[in-house]
This record gives sequence, structure tokens and C-alpha cells, in this order.
Amino acid sequence: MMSGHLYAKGKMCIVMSGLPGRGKTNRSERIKRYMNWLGVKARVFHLADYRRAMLGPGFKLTLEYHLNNSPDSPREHVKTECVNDIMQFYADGGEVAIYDAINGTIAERNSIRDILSSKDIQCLFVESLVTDAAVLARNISEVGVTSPDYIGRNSKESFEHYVKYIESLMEHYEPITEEGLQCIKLVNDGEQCVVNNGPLGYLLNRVLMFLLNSRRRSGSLFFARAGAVEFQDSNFNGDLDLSPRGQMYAATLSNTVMGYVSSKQIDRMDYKMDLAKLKTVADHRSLVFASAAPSAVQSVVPSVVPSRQHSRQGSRSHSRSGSRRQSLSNEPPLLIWTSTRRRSEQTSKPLRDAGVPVISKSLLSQLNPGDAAPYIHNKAALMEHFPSEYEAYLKDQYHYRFPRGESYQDVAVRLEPIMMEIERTQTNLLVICQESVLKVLYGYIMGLTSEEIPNLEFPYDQIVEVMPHGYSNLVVHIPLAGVAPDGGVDLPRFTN
Amino acid sequence: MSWYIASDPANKICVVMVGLPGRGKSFMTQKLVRYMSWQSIKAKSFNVGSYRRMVTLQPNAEFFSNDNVLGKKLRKEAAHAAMVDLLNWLFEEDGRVAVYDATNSTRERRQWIKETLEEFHVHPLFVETICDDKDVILHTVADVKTDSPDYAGMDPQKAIDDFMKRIDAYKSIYETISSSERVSYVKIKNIGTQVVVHHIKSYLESHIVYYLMNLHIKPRRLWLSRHGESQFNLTGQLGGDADLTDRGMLYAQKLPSLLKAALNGEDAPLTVWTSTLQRTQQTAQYLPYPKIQWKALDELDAGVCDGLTYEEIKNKYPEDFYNRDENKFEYRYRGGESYYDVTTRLDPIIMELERQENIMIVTHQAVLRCIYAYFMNVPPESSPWLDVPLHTLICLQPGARGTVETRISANIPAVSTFRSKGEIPKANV
Repeated sequence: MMSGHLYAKGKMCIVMSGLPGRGKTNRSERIKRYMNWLGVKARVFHLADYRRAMLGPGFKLTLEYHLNNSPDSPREHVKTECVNDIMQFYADGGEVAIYDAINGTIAERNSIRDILSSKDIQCLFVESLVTDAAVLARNISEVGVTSPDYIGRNSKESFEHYVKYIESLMEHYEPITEEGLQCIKLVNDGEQCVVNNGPLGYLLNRVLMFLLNSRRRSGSLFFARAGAVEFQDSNFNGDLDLSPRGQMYAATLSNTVMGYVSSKQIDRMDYKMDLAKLKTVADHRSLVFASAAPSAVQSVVPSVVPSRQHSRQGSRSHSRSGSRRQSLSNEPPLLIWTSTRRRSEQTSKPLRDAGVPVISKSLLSQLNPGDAAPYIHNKAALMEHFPSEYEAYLKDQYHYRFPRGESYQDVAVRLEPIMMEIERTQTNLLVICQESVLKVLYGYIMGLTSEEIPNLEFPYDQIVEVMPHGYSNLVVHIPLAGVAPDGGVDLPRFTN
Repeated sequence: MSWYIASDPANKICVVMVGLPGRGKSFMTQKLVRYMSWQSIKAKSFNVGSYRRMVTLQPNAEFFSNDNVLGKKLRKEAAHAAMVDLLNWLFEEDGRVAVYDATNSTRERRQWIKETLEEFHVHPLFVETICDDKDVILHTVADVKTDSPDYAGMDPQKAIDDFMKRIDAYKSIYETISSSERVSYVKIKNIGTQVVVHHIKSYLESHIVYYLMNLHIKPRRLWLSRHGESQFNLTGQLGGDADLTDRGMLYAQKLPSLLKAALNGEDAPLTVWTSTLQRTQQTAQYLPYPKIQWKALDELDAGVCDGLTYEEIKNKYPEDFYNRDENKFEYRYRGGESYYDVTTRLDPIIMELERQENIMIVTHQAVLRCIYAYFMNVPPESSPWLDVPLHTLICLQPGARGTVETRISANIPAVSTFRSKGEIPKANV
């Protein structure tokens, strides 16, 4: 019998495909993070990392490097090494490998598919296409800032080199049209999505759903505790007002956040990119529906060819698309989510008064400690009333639920819609809630393990900022002047 | 409770179906509403055809011709009446997901729908079903001739001919959704073979798209059975991982022939799913089909009450005993699960069942109740009280307009584990 899992697991490979600047690397990392959160053993294999490691940082990227596919060419060596590692990953019990490379020819895709299917590994191609020059500009600015290939070349020169490099690859790029290939085509960072040869199966459908929600972040995520309350909140349903100390905390939080966000410059390439130039290296719309089934192409292509769209809609559609593009850069500078508890809402009040949009969400409620609530701040009392439960809790803090309560895992499961919304949010977002929820959200964003998450700490005297930085995140701790680390009592936190 | 999926309850969605007649729109509508309700999200469908039938019961294809002025007027009035009721339901009865089920085949009609809904801050999600696979169309058309009230009592061949003419009448004016309409949409072609998703706005919408992508309309049957009688069934204890009794083993031995007889010579592939607990595996051991164990099919976790009898629970945790009976769906055992928790963890099972064809599930009382509730559209307040006897094979046959159920008793005696509200069953030893 196959062993029991939440879903029928098998080994799978997600093969990325698309020209440079299409956001493949960022997307690969995001898929991996989501997979890990689902409890799937996933890993990304960036072909570029292998190239840099094997050929050295001084190696110059050229068209010749990409086109030479003779067996002993440098690129073939690099590929072989990377694919060998992928196969080793499966042999070591890995479940989903994400193969991040251009995979821009039918021959190349066939070859990886053959290798994988010979080992019974299901293969899903994810092609990233960008038809919008503004999206391309955003992706490129990120590469310019953080790609090891371009570090220190934050300039007109590196932009032009990169655009030229994409241009040289363009005519050699063969979009996915192969018959019978399971593939997802994603256009402009998730604006549109086409699935060919579905349905994909449970796990890959989850990935698809994630991709439908996931956007490249440009703003930061800020995490802050809700302020302290008047008395120890022993009843889980107790909903108390902020204490004077808590109100001071709220005021300090507001001043600090406002000052920080307004002075913050998003780290972008200095060079102002030429959108007209970028338009020439963007993907053509017709690639989106390129498919093996001719009838499928006929039924959908006419409606999206831009020229027809414009002739029908006239200037209206021009102005609309213009405003959407603007919205990429003209988002509100800050948005706040709080739980529906009074203490969270009251903590956000000074910010609300300053005109920052605040949304309260019931899903952000703290972990429910159940029957253990009255003792959750008092280790001795807890051990006295729930001796065996406390012992079980210490053994597996992430999965253990006290009688009638929730585990961290329960919280994570119910937070999935919130995670998806975070994936959608483009602007700076400050989440104000109790520590247990901050732990789970931070754990997801940072890709932490179930052992690490329960032991995270969010002291009151700082705001934690998670900043998207190229392919990963940067964490900054912003001090809150005059606030003590134990600014108050919070649930459920053991003062061991 | 809808908070699990629907994070922002103010956000109301109208799923607007688009497609020629016979493309499975009503099939999808019906399933989507059932799925949402099962997830405790308030959902309802509004079928324009049934509004139209209030004035013309059985019109012929001529009625649907674009040149038929009266037909056009009546159909438009029906569209308006359905929309008014839909909006009333969303706001007066606090509905969450409404499904507007009609052909909505022209751009003009869709613009009207979009503008009307947006005026009320309801977000429209258009779902277009496209099909050029003849077999699939014929399958749906065959359902229509037997099921649609438009053709009740009519000669089947005549009904099909008329229906094909009706499709032609719509074809002449049909416009597929275009991105220039500036709406969120999903196009599902040939039942999920190709899917196009455009500008999805929220998590709930992505969940709807995700569900619709898993559907198929191939005929299939789902077989459900509880495990055979276990030692704990005899003693009236909850949970545990006990072995089968002799009578339970007898059921396990009889199950293959019971299933074979019910299959009646049909030899379509079949897979058996069990939980990870002994009693379901022992029950399934003689079934000559591939087997998969699912953790998600394990019995409702009774937490601290695991291994206790109802009587012991009543004595030890009297408050819990009564609270549970007051709201059995939401009640969570100390350190254990509620029926709602079980429903949540069964979501992947339901998704996988939608994708699969013939499956036999051998599982436990509470889990079976939740799965049964999904297919038979049983509301949460009743599903925990369903009577699902031991030693009985249940066959569910999902169809375009609902699921047909058959129960086959193995005629092997077993204790009854059914307990009505407030009742304390005695042990049977």
C-alpha cells in the first residue's frame, strides 16, 4: 500500500521557462516557500548559480554560451551538473524540484522531460511571459540591484547590456507549443494565466492557485505587536482596552512607522529605464495562447490581439491600461491590517487618525489556547493544571493543541487566505496583532521550519521589517524609542 | 464560520456563467453551490431559464432565435427578474457567492451584468465554458433530454433535435469573452484541458477557479463503506485503533463479492482508499484493487475522550456531552476535532475525488458523514446526525442534476452506532 499522506504524493518537477527578465527566479523561490509551508520537501535549482560556481564570477555571458549545445560545451557541463543534483535530490527523499533556467528550446525541454519521465517524475512547465514593458522594467531593476551578474553595475551601462543580452536571445527562444505538455503560462506577473493539458492533479493545482494569487512584492512587510492591556487577559474572550502604557506604545509606533516609511526609498536602479526600448524585448501577446491544439488557439486569440482590442475600444482602453500601469508606482505608501481585538484596533488608532487605511481582519485572531488560557502566562500554574499536556506541548510546540485550543499549525492553516492576500499586496503593509500570529506569518515569509516558528520572539521595543530584496528577503529591526521589550502581557507566551 | 476561506465577509461575489446551451453550465453551477455550502460559505444559484419558464413552459427552438422579438423580450425580462432576486438574496439574506446561470452569450448582456453588479459593489467573476469535443456535447445533450423541464414528456429524439436547433440559434450571436471587456474571467475549455484565467481579484475567487478546474463529467461511481464492526464498536468506545470483530471480518470477506455483484460486470478501473487505521485496512484487505491510505480519512479525533464510551464522557465531562449535542458540527472535543475540522481536512479528498473516476472509500462514521454530506448536499446542522449503518455498501452516482444513492446491505449483523440527540447508548457486550 502507498503510505498515507494528506494527499497522494509523488515526485514532481516544476520546470521554469522564459527569457531573462521574466521573473523566473523570483517566482521559483516563491513556489518553494509555499511548498515548504504545505509540508512538501521542495528545493530550487538555479542554473545560473551552477554557471557562476563552475565557470567563475568573471565569466562573460554571451549568446555563444547559450547557443553552443555540443556535448562538451561549457553550458552543457553546467546543465549536466545541475540536473544530476536534481536527481540526487529525489534520491535523498526530495519531492518537488524547481528547475530554474531559460529552457527556451523544444529540444532542451524534451531532453529534461525525457530524463524526468524515465524516473516516473511528473513534469510541469511554467512559462513566464511579460508583454508589459513596465513589468519588465520592474523585474530588471531587481536584477540590476541584486543579481550577482550585475552587482556594482547599477547604471545605464548595465541596463543596456542586459537589454542587449535579452534581445540576442529573443530570436532563438521557442515558446511552449509542444503537444501534450502540461504547462502553465503566466503573463505579466499573474495578470493572466493559461493552463494547457490540465487538470494537473492535486498538488500542482495548489501551486496554480498560489500562482494566481502571488505577485512580486515591491513594498515591505512590517510586523508589530498589539499594545499592552490594563490587566492580564486570562479569559480568551476578554477584550480589554489598551492601558496607558499601551497607548504610549501606540503613539510611538505610529510616529516611528510614519517617519520610517516616508523617508524610505525603495532600492531601485538609479538609471531611468527606457520603456520604448524595453517594449522591443517584451514577449508578444500571441505567445500567450500558443498551443498544440489549433482549435484552442482559434477560439481565444482574436479576443486578445491588442490591435483589435484598440480598434474596438478606441481611446478608452488606452487610458485604462495607462492608469493600471501608473498604479504600479502610485500605491498608497502604507496599509495596516489588525486583528478585530480592541487592543489591536486601538494600537492602530494613531495611524488611522493620521490617514493611513486600516483594515481589521478576524482571521488574524491570536492562537486560541483553549482551556489553558487562564494559565498561559504562568508556567507553574500551567504545569499544575495541565501537567501531561504541558509536557506534550514542550515536545512538539508547533503541532500541539491544548484542550479546546489551536496549535500553531491550526493557525497557519486558517491564515492561508491571509498569506494569499499578502502575496497579492504591492504596497508597504504593517500587520498589528498578537505574537502567535506574527510568528506564523513571519515564519511563512521567511520560510522557517516548524521547530523555529514557536520559538520566535517579537519584543515590543521594535518593529520587524521584511523587505523584498531581489530573490530573497532582508530583515530590518526598527527600534521603538522609549518602549520596554516586555511592553505588556500577550497571549500565549511563556515567560520561561 | 465562513471565515476559513472567505477572509473578508463584506466581499460578495457573483459568478456569472457564460456558454452555449449544452456546455455543462448548470452542472458546474450546481456543483459549485454545493461545494461552497459544504465549506459553510453561503451560496445560491439563480437560473434565468427557470424564470423564463414561468411565462413559457416548453418553447421550441424558434423562441430562442435572435429574430423572435417576443422571445427576446421575454428572455430579457427573465434575466432582469433573476438579477433582482440575486441582489436581494445577497443583501437581504447576507449571501456570499451568487451564481447567475444563463448563456450570457453577448458582450452587451455581459456589460449590463457587470455594470449592474458593480453598482452594488458585488464583484463579477465570469466563468465561460467552451467545448468543441463532440462526445462531451452529446453527453450533456443526452442529459438534457432526460432531465430538462423544457422537454419533459417529449419524444427523446425530437427533444434532442430541438435542443440542437436552440444551440444553433445561440451560436449565431455568441461572442466569447474578451480581455477588452475589462472583467475577471476564467475560460474552461473541454473540461479543464485548457484553462485561461484573467485578472482574478481575491483568494475566494482563486479557490472557485481551482475547484472548477478539477471537475469532469465522465460517468463514474463512488463506493462508500464504513469499516466492519470493531472491538470498540462492541464496547461502545470512541476512537482507538482496534481490530475487527469476527462479524467485522465476515463483512471484510464478503465485501469483494458484494461490490462485484453491484458492479454487474462493469470492469472500469477502481481504486480503494482507506484511512491509516487498522480497522479500515482489515476491512479492505480482500478487495482485489489497488489501495491507497490517506491520513485525512482517519476518524474524527475525540481528543481526551478517545477510548471512552458515551456514558463515561457524560460522567467525566458532562458539560462537554451536552454542548456537543447542542452544536455537533462545530463542537470540538478537548484536544480533538469537530465535524467542521474534519470537513476542512477532507477538502483535498473532495478535490481528488472530483478528479478521479471510480473510487471505493473504506473509512469511519464521522468522515463518511462529511463525504456523504458533500455529495448529497446535506447541511452542516444535519450531517453529524446522519445514519450510516455498519456492514452496508453505499453507491453514489453523481449526475448532472444531483447524485443518485443506492444502499446495499451485507446482511451481516452488527451493533448500531447511531445515536440520536441526547441519547446514551449502552455497550453491547
